[in-house]
Amino acid sequence: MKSFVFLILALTISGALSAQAVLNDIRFVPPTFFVGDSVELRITFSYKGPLAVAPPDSIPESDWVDIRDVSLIQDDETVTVVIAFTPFAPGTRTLPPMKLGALQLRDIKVATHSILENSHEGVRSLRGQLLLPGTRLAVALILSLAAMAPFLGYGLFRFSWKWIKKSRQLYRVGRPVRRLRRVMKKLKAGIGSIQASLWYYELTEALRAYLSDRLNHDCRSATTAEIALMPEFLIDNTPQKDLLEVLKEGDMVKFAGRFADDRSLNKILEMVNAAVGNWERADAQL
Amino acid sequence: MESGNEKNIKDAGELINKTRQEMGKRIVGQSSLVDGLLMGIIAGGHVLVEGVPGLAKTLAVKALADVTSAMFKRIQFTPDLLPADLTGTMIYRQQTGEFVPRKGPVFSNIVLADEINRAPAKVQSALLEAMAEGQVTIGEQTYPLPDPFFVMATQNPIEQEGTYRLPEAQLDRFLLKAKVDYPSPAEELVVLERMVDNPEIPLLRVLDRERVRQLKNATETVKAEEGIRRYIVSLVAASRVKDRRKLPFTRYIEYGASPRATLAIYRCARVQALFDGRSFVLPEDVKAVVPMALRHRLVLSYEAEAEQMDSDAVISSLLAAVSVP
Repeated sequence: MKSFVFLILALTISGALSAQAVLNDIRFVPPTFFVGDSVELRITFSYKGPLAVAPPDSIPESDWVDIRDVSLIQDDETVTVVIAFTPFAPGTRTLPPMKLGALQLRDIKVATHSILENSHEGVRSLRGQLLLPGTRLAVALILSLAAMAPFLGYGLFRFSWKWIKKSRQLYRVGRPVRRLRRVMKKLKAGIGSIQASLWYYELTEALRAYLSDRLNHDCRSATTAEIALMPEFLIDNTPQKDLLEVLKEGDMVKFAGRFADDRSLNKILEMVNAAVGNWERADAQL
Repeated sequence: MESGNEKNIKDAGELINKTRQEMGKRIVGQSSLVDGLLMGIIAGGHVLVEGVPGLAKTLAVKALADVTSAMFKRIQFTPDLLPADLTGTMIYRQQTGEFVPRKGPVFSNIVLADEINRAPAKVQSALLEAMAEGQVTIGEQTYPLPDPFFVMATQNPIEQEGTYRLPEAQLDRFLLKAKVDYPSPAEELVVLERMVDNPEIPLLRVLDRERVRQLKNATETVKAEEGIRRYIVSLVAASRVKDRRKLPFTRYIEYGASPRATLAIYRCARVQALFDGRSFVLPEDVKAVVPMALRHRLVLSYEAEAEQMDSDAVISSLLAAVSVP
């Protein structure tokens, strides 16, 4: 936006001291202002010798401007006149004269901008009104949050529930193999100290529990012969077939009194470990 | 190298197979009935057979008698039968002027008690007492029954009018109860071809008293490890559990199996192992004999009757509830 300020200031300093005051600076804050804006005009003089300045007895009035306050800031060499006003008419107009003790201000031009001037392109489109006049941002945000809270809460609950469900599923999927590996760890430590038949009782019980969980068939109450007839155990060279061999070997040791040394027990554990690992990996790839 | 025990087991297995084959010449299919009969005679127990008429129940027992070269008697149980008709009685001999015992048909190696539920309770008791004790008292004298002594009783599941249901305590005396079902169409065709032209097929006498004893001895050598024994006890104990929340199927059981059932399963499982030529019992042997050993020993509840659950269905649930060793 093009903006500039026209200021024509004619200062008449009356009295014998008038020649001693020199105008130093004139500044509008903000530099560009529109109708209705609160504006501050700062006029700074420097002077030599004594200068008797004082605020006006009464603030002058005008139909286009509302002068709210006139104040002075004075030191040994400079004096600043601060005039706070609000213009109500666009264009360049003159502030009413005012007497400030030894100083008299006249013909102070004030250029007030209008949103209609300059471009002459008609009325500008309104700027996006985010808030109702007088609304505070914080209150608006709090109210918005309060209104959205149930939805946010529901979304958060759904997300959390899905996450918990998925975690539980993952935990459950992995639970059978974790349980079996725990038993296998215990049995590995027990090789040499546990009787082979008792060792196999524990291994086959854990294996049956694992198979029951993995296949959704009840293998706990199924005999080895019944397990062998399940469709999953009919295909050769599969981890299931290896586990079936372990069950058969277990039956022979448990019920037929077949001898099993520490080496063979270690081998069985390795076989179970490999078969279970292959099975889990194959399922994870699916 | 084969040990003596393994050889005995192998020989016993072969003998059993030979007996099966011989009986199979007359009996088409009905392998569970044939195995049940052999199991009964080897385990030294008695067999109750249930099936509708015409399913070769009597023929099977006759075939068994023919292959065992044993004394065989058939007693048709009727409502007017008396205990003395079964066990025998004291008769007056005019020449000597004294009472002498006249032994009844129960003094045989193999007795077929046909339609046992048609005779009144006192006759049933007389037979069951002989089965349990292995002896019969006539007058003041007690006479031992011949060895082997094997009773096969039949009962018809239909036509229940005018019958006397066997009490549970007496049913318990039977080692096992075999159920005979209709043959498959293919089997029935073989029956037709075989029986029309030659109804009396001659059978070899492959079993005699000595060989039956050999089979019994071989059974005694069959090992049942502690795990198997515990499994059998767990199965029978599960039938007595009263906590429906723990074992839901127990709501169908009014009274569970007795310790006699435990012994029956144990004996039958060993014979079952022998059938497969094994010197040790596996859980599958136990599972194979449990239905036969328990189906007449479980007293089902009103709920089972209301839901049309038979004892075999309850036993299936029982087997599914107990973990195998």
